Amino acid sequence: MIKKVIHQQVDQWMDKRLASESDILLTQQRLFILPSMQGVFFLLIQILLLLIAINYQNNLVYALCFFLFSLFISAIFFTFFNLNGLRLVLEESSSPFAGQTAFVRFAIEKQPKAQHHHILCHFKGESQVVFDLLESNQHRIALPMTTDKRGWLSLPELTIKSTFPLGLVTCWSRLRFKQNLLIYPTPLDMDQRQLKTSGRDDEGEGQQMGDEHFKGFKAFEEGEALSRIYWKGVAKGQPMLSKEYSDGQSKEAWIDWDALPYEPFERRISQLTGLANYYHQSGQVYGCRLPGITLPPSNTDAHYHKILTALALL
Amino acid sequence: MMRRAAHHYQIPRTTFLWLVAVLVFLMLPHAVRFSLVIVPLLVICIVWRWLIFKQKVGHPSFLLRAALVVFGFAAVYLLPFEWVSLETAVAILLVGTLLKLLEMRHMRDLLVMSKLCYFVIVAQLLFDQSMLSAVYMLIGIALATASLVSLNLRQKGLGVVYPAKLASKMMLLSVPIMALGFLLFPRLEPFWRVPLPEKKSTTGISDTMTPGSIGELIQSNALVFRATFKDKVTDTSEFYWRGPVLSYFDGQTWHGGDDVISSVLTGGKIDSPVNSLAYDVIMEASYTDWLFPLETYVSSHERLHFASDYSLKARSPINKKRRFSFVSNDQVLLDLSLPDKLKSHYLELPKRGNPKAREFAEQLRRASNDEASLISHANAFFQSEPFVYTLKPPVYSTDRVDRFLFDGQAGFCEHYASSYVFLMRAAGVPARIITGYQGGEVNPYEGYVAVRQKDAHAWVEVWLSGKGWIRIDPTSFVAPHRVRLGIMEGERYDQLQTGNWQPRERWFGQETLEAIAHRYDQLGYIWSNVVVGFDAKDQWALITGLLGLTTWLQKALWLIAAFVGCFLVIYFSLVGLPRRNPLPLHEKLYVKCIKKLQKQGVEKPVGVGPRDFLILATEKLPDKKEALDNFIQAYIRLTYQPENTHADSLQLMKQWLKRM
Repeated sequence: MIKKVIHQQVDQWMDKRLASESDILLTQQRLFILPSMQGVFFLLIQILLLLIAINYQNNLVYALCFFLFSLFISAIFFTFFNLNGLRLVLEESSSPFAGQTAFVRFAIEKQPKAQHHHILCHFKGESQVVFDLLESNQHRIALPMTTDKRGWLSLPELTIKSTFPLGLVTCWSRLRFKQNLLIYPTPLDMDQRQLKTSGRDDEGEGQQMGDEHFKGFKAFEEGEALSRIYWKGVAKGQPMLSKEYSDGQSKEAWIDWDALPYEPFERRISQLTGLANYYHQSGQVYGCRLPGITLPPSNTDAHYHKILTALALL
Repeated sequence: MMRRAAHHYQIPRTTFLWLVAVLVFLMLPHAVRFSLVIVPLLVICIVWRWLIFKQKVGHPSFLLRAALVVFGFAAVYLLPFEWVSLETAVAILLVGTLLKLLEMRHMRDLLVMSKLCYFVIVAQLLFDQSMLSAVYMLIGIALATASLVSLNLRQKGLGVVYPAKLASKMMLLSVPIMALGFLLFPRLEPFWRVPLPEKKSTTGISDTMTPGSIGELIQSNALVFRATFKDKVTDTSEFYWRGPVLSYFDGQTWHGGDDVISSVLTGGKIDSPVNSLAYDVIMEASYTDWLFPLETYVSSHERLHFASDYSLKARSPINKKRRFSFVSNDQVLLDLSLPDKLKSHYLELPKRGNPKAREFAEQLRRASNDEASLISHANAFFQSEPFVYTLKPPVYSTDRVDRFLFDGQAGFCEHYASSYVFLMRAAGVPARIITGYQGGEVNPYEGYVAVRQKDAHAWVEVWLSGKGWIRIDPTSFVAPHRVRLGIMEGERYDQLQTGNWQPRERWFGQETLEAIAHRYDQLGYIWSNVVVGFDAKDQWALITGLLGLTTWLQKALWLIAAFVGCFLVIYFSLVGLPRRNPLPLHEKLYVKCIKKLQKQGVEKPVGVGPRDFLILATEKLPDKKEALDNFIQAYIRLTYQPENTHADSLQLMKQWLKRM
């Protein structure tokens, strides 16, 4: 109970202290220093040495003991300056699909003459990245972060720490960012048979397979020419699809919310995401019809990301 | 990029080399002390480690490690030390540390190792506090710190130079706080008794004198103690450092007369008349309790065992360097009357043996009216007979006194003292042998007297009623130069007498070398005085005397200020001192000019530019119009049109300034 209250208090205090922009300069206001496990041992050793010095009345052991203590104090300064003055700049990161590991990119800058060794950086609960800043004044890192849901993901608390040079004290800072990262929905491979072609597409039915323009995919059926099979997809473990070609007069492909009426909501989003991926990779021109949003057909990157964003936020 | 799990951690090679180097370095002094244990283990561990390093063998199996542990402990058991002793404890620590070297696989092992290093250092400092040992260990600490830095580096490619540099910098910055702690941390009394380093088998004066025992000592150059006097000392030939008194002779060996000699704990014993000599003696660890005050000991600050034969002992064996303050006075007469019991003790001789000597003593007694003339007859005997002073006398087996006095007539102090006492006792004069040191070397730089084992000496005290105990040094009758020049030179003098003497040439560089030796000894003295011997008394003197701090508030403020100072030193050495932008030279000259005119009564109002100031100044000092004009015009040009200004205008400005 008390623990909980304390945790809350500490959290509030930290929030105030650590509230961050996308551009953070590490200074004494943000940096904390405490002895590391090694440092605690080191201090215990000094107590032991002090006992030896007193019992043996040995001045040189006294001197050694105070020297180690002094070294510990120096280590506090050295470790502090190993992080002090670093600037963390959150950079644009590409949105991952939910379930993938996101790599959040930071640029870390140092003062011209400073040297920073062995810095550890990680998001809460994620694996860490280790780096040095010795010669160049800027270093880019990409911190891994697991994602599970589509939509806006607020960045978890970031810890940057170092125990250099002696490993006796840990200097660290926890950074909280207001920025969010957009996570695209998990793509699901489309099963074309479920794609009920809506009325707009009816005329295409029964049309002879032309050879000019690639139109889209349909599920492979026995007896179709093997050259029509989308082998790349097969290699990726997708169900067998065969390529359909239109002779130039067929309509654009659409990512159509209403095309999958029987799927559950999230699954529908995932499938449409998969379809968007597919269209984008194949370079096709495609449009998008979602509840409340309609985007005219296009095949640019911006278009693709617009669609994924819309899907992510649906 | 991602951190590998700890159990996959491969020890980086440079880090590993660092640690092994540190360990070998720190083990070397111990290897001298515990060679039986350390040397084989060190060799095995390093060779094995090297083979692992070269990937010739794998890590040692459990069986092999177990075997090594058994070997290590067996070797510790075989060491000639008590089972519960400091030596054994240290030996076990060292064995453990060495075996850990074989076990090093993970980061954690390295970290444990780096901490163990400090205990290895402490172990050495417990045995040896000399300057040499301290300097050696300082290097060891630097290596250990550098290895710790190397352990924490990510880029192992930085090699050995970078960690060494960084470690040195850290150590240098750590000195102020260390000094503060060393000087100000209260020196507490020991909390509990600890096993001290055991007696080493080194030689020293003891309370028995067997034939040749002093002769052995004389070969050694080891320091026994240093003495410091208030006044400068030049001649030490009259310095007799009185040690154990030997009064019981069994025909072979002289012993102390413990059964008759009573002892009291005392600070000051004898009332000291005029001209007492106060001095300090800093004893090296002798592992005995004998002290060697000058004749005749009067008092001390400390409570010491003071025997009725005027020999002095510390209350516990001197296991480490210790300082004693003595007062001596050579005018004091000892034991004007002697109880019969003691008199008979000092006359006691073995029932049989040395008939010639006894007969000769009888002759002497008959030839003299009183004890004084008997003594002078005896002295005359030693002076007139062809006695030879030598450190390599023939072996006198039976009737040693007879053989020495009448056949061989060659020997050194112990022969002379022993036979002299024998003669005196046989003639009915109470006599005893005093062992100790004679002379000592004055350090020309520091003024102290260093007494070494080679100064070991034995002389005689005889008791005359009404005069008490009187010192007689029979060696000085035979070899006065022994007393004057010290033993080594003395022996060469004997070669002169026997015709073998060659004048010793002073070889090239000898003086320099001697000066260096004296300097080194001086450093050792300062070291032992200032660092090793720093105690609560010195601390008090420093705080209240030197710094003049009396109240607690003062002390607390000073302490805080000192610590803050130390922190600032570290801080600014890391950040760099804040730099001001220096003014350009012509601005500096202008400021100078304003100050100069101010002295002549021309005040520059605030906010007045150089042009208006020129007008103002020329009004007040019309005779300096030219100088002012040129100076200020140059200044204006330099300020506003520096690119169009002649290069030597600064020089001209200086000249004009002089003329103002």
